[in-house]
Amino acid sequence: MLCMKRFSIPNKSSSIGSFIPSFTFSVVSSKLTMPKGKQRKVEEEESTRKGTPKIDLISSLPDSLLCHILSFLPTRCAMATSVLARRWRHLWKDLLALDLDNSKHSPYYLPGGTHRFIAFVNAVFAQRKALRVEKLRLACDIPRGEKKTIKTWIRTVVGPHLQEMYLDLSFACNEFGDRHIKLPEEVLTSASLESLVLKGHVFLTVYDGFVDLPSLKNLELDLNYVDPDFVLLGCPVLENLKLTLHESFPLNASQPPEIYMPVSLKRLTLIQDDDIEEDINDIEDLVIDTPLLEYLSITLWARCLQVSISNYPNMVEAHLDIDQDKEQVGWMLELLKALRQTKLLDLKLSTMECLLVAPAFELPEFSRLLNLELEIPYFNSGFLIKLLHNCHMLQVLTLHNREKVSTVEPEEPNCWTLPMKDPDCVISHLKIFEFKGYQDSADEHAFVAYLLERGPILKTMKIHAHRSLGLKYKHRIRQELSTIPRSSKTCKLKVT
Amino acid sequence: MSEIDMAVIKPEMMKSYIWLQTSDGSIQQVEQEIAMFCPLICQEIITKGMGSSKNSAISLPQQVTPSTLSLILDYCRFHQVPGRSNKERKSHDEKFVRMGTNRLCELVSAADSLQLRPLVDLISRALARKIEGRTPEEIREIFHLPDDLTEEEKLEPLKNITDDPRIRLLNRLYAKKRKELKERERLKNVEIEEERVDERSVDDLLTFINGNDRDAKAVKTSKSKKKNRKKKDQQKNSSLKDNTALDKKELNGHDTGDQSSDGNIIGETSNLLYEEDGTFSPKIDFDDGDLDDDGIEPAIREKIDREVADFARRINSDWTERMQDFLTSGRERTSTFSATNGNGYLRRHA
Repeated sequence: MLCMKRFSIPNKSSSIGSFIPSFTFSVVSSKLTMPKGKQRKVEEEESTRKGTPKIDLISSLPDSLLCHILSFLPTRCAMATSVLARRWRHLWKDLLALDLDNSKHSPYYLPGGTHRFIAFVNAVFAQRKALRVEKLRLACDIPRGEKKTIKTWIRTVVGPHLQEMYLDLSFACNEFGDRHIKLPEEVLTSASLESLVLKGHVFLTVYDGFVDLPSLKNLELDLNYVDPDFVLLGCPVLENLKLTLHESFPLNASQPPEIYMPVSLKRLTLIQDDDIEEDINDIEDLVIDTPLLEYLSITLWARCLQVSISNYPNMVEAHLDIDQDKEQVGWMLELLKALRQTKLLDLKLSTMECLLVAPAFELPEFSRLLNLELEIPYFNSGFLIKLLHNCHMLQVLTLHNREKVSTVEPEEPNCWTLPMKDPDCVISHLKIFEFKGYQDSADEHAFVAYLLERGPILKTMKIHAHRSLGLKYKHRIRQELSTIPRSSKTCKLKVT
Repeated sequence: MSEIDMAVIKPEMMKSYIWLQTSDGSIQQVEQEIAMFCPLICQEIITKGMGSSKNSAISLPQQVTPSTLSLILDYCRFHQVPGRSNKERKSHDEKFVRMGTNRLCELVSAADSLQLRPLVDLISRALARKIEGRTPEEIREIFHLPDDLTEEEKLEPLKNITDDPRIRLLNRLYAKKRKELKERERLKNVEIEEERVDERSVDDLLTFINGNDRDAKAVKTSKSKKKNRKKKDQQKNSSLKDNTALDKKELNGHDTGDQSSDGNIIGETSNLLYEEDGTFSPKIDFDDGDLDDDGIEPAIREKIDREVADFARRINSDWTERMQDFLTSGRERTSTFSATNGNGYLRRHA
């Protein structure tokens, strides 16, 4: 093995000739590769052996590759590599990516006022040799009077080569007056831009015409004032969207807020910022007609008066945290139906609460569902088993019982006429089960017992007892559950 | 054909194979669909029809050794399967890059030559993680880089921030202006005090200057440029009318003043790059390095020299003239006084 390792360094020596036949033989017979683990161990051994020649392999890499490596570093760090060795002195100047992060949690934060940071960035622009910028990441606080400087930077960077832009700009507190920086128009009409992230106090406006981003694939908006439709209409090939709605949505009170998701969307995250106290306006029209959608995550409680949902045959992962009034619940049920092809479904508490008080509704069959996570407002084993009937491919089930420990008798949900099936095939694929907030009620116990007795390939069962239960009680639970005969021989039970 | 032989011997292996030749000359067979994951191999097969037999094996670039090829093929084998989730791919990639630095360099070089972009990005990120947050010494240790820069060259990135000659001229003029104002202030104090005090202070000053001269000269032997500057100043010194101690003192003070004030300004601007607590912050020494004259064009240098001479003349002029000057620019002085107080310059020399 060691001989072959030495062999890997590309220098022609006479010993190579004698090794060829044995090498190719072993290659063909053992499916082409040396076991990876062995190879790595050998490597480690060699490097820790004393007297190993210290080969500087990184310097044999071409400049373009070294520059590529530097492009993954924050710009301050990349600039600092100029003191490493002669070769590295001017490498950073050819960087096409700028990562200028002066946010407070960044390790490169310059304390003592943003003026130092601004001078630093000016120095970067002055000293670099490359004429274009392909990626810009800028996160900082804007001090008084420096809006123009920042806009100049953005203007310098926008060009036919700009591919990614990330801006997280905020004003230092106690800034009165105009607390927004207007994004230069060229950014919103860039033909080359593929990824755009805007956070903070950036203000979007286009004077003549509209937003036109024909190459944009990734968009993230987390702005205080934004009319999302204004931007979304100009992104015909958008694949990823993350939209955060703040209290000042919608921007224009006279126009009804509408959100039309681009048809090409594959990943959608819609979040409503929840640290506001006042009521938010209703969303007039929400259209999620995106047949290519693979990932969906919605956190929303604004009333949606009209929602258009299409089918999502490619859905893989869906997380729903939606709270609607009784009148609007209808679209949630429609959404659930549209998500029936998903592999992962995660329904948070408010969603479950809404669904459980919804009028009678036929739950769709989730034929591909592998992973189900539910936060339930109260525990009802009958209902859960009925639910399991509709996802017989299920491999992972996680329940979180958010019921407050009380003596109120939970009522049977009046919804969900579920088709009855042969009870035995319900959990035929279940491998992992996790139960959080276990309160050891008779119902819960019955359910857990059912799974243990009936789950043929159950591998892991984790029960997290409710925090109000003491250690002794947990021990008792463990004893009780361990006595239940298990259908699966390899099942491991864990109670914490 | 050996491929047909293979098909006869192992009928269950219905995949087609491609022949690849690595840098050492050895030839091996690889499943076609895995090899096609590499754009270069794909190109060779499609456009040139190579690789179908042992004789027409695709010869891979020099950077691809048998061991790196096997690693690359492992990578391709995992990722060309379509049904994997993002999580799976990520965790595989994380484990994949757990290898020695030299191995990573070999691998990235090979992947780059095969135009396998995702693997190049993965390894580049791993190498970047090894660089980030480390001191230069640590990085040199990890990558076995030669430490082949002189001390001066290592400080260059800092100096270059204010390399713009206009900025340096501006700094110099500001320093002179400040010096001027400070002198006026001191003159005012001097006039108020007794003449005797002046006398004594002159002696003190002389010893101080001589001592200072010696020290200064010792410090500046390493920088010949500074010596030249010193000589120039001393030449000017002799050319002036009154060779009073005050004159000397002021010129010397001018020098040190220049240092400190320039130092202040440049210190401020250069500190922007490197902060004291950062892991990657070379020590900043503020000698007169920033005042190298060679960077400045002769025209500007002349202008500066003229300024210096003018300044010296003004100081040497009669008391009445000085007072005249002082009184007329009184308003100006008070307004800038507060400004100069701010940077601690007066504090150090008052």
